[in-house]
Amino acid sequence: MVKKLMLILLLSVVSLYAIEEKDIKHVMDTKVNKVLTILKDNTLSQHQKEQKCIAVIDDVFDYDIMAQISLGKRWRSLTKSEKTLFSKRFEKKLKLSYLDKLRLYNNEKVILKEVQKVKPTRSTLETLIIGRDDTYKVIYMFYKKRNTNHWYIYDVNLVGVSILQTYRKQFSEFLQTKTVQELIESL
Amino acid sequence: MLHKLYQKVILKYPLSILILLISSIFIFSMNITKLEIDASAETLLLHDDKDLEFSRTIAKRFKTDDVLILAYKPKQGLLSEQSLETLTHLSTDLEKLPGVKSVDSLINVPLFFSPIREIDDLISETRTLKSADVNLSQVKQEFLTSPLYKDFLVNKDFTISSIIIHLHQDPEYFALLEERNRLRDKQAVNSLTKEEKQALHDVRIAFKEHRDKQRIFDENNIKEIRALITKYQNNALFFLGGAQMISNDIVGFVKNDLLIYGSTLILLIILVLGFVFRQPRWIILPILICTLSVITITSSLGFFNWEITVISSNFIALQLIITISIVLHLIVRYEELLALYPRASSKRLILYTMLTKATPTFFAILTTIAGFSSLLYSHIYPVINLGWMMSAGISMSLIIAFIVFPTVLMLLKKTPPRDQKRSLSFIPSLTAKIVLHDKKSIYLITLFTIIFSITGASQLIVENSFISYFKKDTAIYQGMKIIDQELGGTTPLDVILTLSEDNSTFPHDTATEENSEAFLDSFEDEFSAVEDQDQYWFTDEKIKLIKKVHGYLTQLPQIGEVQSFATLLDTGKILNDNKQLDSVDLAIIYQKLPQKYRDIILTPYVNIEHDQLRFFTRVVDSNETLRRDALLKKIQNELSQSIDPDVATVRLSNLMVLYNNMLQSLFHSQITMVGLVLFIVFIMFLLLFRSFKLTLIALIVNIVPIGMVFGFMGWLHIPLDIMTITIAAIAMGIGIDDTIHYIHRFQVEFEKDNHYYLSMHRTNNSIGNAMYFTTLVIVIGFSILILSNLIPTIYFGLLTMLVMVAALISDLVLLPKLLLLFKPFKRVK
Repeated sequence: MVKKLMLILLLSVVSLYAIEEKDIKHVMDTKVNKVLTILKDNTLSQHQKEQKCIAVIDDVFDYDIMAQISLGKRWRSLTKSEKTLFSKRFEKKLKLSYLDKLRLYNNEKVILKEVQKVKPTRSTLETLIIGRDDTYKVIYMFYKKRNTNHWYIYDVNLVGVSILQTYRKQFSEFLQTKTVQELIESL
Repeated sequence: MLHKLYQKVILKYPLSILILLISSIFIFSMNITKLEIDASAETLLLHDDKDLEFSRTIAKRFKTDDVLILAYKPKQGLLSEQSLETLTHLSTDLEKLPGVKSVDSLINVPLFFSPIREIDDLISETRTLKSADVNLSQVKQEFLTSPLYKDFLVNKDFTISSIIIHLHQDPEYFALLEERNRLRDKQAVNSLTKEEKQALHDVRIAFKEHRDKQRIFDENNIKEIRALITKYQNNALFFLGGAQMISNDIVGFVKNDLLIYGSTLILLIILVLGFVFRQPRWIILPILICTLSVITITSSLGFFNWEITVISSNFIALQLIITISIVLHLIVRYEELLALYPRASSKRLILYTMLTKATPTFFAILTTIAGFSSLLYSHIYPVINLGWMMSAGISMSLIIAFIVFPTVLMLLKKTPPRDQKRSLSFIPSLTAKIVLHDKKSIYLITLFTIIFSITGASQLIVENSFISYFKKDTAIYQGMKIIDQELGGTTPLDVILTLSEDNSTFPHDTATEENSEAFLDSFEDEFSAVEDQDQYWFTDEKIKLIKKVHGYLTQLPQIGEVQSFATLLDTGKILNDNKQLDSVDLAIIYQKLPQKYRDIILTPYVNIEHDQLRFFTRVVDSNETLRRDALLKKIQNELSQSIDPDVATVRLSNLMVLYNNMLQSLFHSQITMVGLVLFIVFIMFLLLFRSFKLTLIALIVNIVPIGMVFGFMGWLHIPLDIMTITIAAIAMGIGIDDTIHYIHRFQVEFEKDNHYYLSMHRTNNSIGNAMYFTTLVIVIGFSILILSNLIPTIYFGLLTMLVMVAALISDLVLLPKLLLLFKPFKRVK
């Protein structure tokens, strides 16, 4: 179950760079199918599949904003170099933790619902992953970057669990007794 | 006054007085039916223990079940068709019992690795041994290696498995207990209103009634389980264990001992009395007085609703000792007077006997009461209870003996004096000769005894292992040993981690960013709103902590089974291609997990609401290196040191902690108690003898046998526990009685001719006989206790015999030697 759910993150590994609000569903639909094609391609090795997906993953999420949210108010106390280093490490960790779930893909279908605008700067896209026995709800959280019309994913909610929130909680606990430097090290 | 009372009432109307006394005792004896034995764990706890409250909170919070463990050793392999069939039938039968909530065994526990499947598949379809197409060798492998089952559901050799019988919880018990304690606490602080007083009275009665009902229910439940087991005994061996079963069996043994050894003891006493005195009246009279005393005290216990516990089960034996001692002193004195004044009237002889024995007996009983009242300082309910029981009991014995003895004798015909040359009574005169002719060996032996006592006492250990309560050849011992050593241990111990609240405060800085503060704050608000949701509780930090504590507990040799959230993490890891489940995985599993699974796998170990983690362990009771207090301190210290207090605090809980608290309190109060008794006795001696020199001599004479008891216990590695604690009090009770009688008589004899040597001879040959006969009767009578199935009863018997002999020797040899040496009496002209 867990592994299957993780997969959806990979399925969304499509180029969403400079995606506009009205295009969110369309772009997502196309790109998800594209990734599914990569995954179904038996001529590719696991490593190749991963590489192909990773090639586009960088543009999907706004890792910088994710890194900031994950640290909460603590972010403001970091030096500039710490911020850069933390963002880099966090991005890598996120990617790594999803990549190893790739090979679990087992012909699940993905259905995209309509985009919901929650606030002027927030939208959500609900998707359903339909497997052999179960259907799981996954919600992509988009935000509109300031002064532009471009939308980025800042969090993914898997069956009621916000990925970013789990990291926030974890880092906040870590920093209760340890330093930011140690946190960066541990990533 | 006493003189008038005897002359004008007791000796004037002996028959009426006797009938009045005996009939009122018999009417009062109706209350005997209300007498109850309570050996529940509850009785062994300190009554103001803070850990008890904590343990109850934990039990409630983590919804822990009371369980009985049934070890199942089939004649064929564990997974053979016949064994599984027996197991299936037995489980079905067990589940039908009214006291049983559910039964877990090999046949119905979920299989996770046979074969390994995905977690969501596991949740949607639970596989067990009953599922079709199970691969038995895979299943065997799973039972032997799974973190959930190994060394607990099956043993290492795969020959024995546990059947875990979950019992129905009794919420009413705790509701009534809480209400009673609440009102009691309130009463202790300030006065209760009229309604509250009534409520407290009602809840006390309701609690007791409910508990008694429940006790019978539990007892029947165990009986029914045992009856079921016998049905299947042709195919397998069964051993039943668990805290409830232990207390049930102890009650059984205690009842059995009271009946069989109690009656045999009486028989033996009759035989010895017959042998020593060779007159029916000197057999009937002591037995009559003992019986009346025991009936009176047991009726009083029933009347006042005082329950006999494992500890106070000895009280009848103790009362017998002291009552016999009183009566034998009276008999010996009467016979002595009869021999001196054969022509005196019966009435005069009896009157003189009673009057001359009244003072020393009264003081002897008073000091014995002082000795027993020291038990009131122990903080342990049954020990305190024993203190009260004994104080009340021996007071009654004194009154009964001083009424029954003269009245019965008045009714009997005076017999001619017997020949004093009894072959048995050579010991007191022999000791007198030893005292006279010996120059140094008495001091040397005393010195040796003191060294022996000190070195032995310094080795005393305080342990209370239930398994060592039973003889090695009893079924219960063997069963407990198997469950203890092969299936995960016996005494439950919980390690509770309370996580510290998030106290990190982040400094606000004013650095300008591409994203303004307001922009970030909008995300902050969005995430903060949901951060306390339960699914986010399972962070990597907590996982690390859980695994660390679990790993630490597992490596302790004295700890058997360890179950915690880490057990599930390990299982999850195996299911997840040997990769650790991370916090995202766990959050998702938590979200998807149906409530019924949460109740089974999470609730006993994780309490998100109170930020607490529970590590359930069972301590291997039979481990010889086990030192309870040291182990608990070690766990508490090492865990507290290795866990940052800002992360979590550690506290231990459950039965193991409560028993240890009780034992430690026992050990410390033993020291205070002995000190206190010596102080009280010192004051009483001073009041009685009015001589500092004499008081010191009397005290030394009593310290030596008590020290010897502790010395023996230390050298023989007999642990100081709830049973052996009473030995010091007995030693005091018996030793002091003898000392007072001896010194009192010595004083009387000395006044005749101011001659120490002659006085000693006369004292040894008169009172010495009474002391010697008492010891003889008790030692032979108590030797029967050695045959008991309960080890503490055997120790009690052995140590009582030892104390009796040591006290006798001390009083017949050391005491006269010291009297002769220090010459404490003033010459009378």
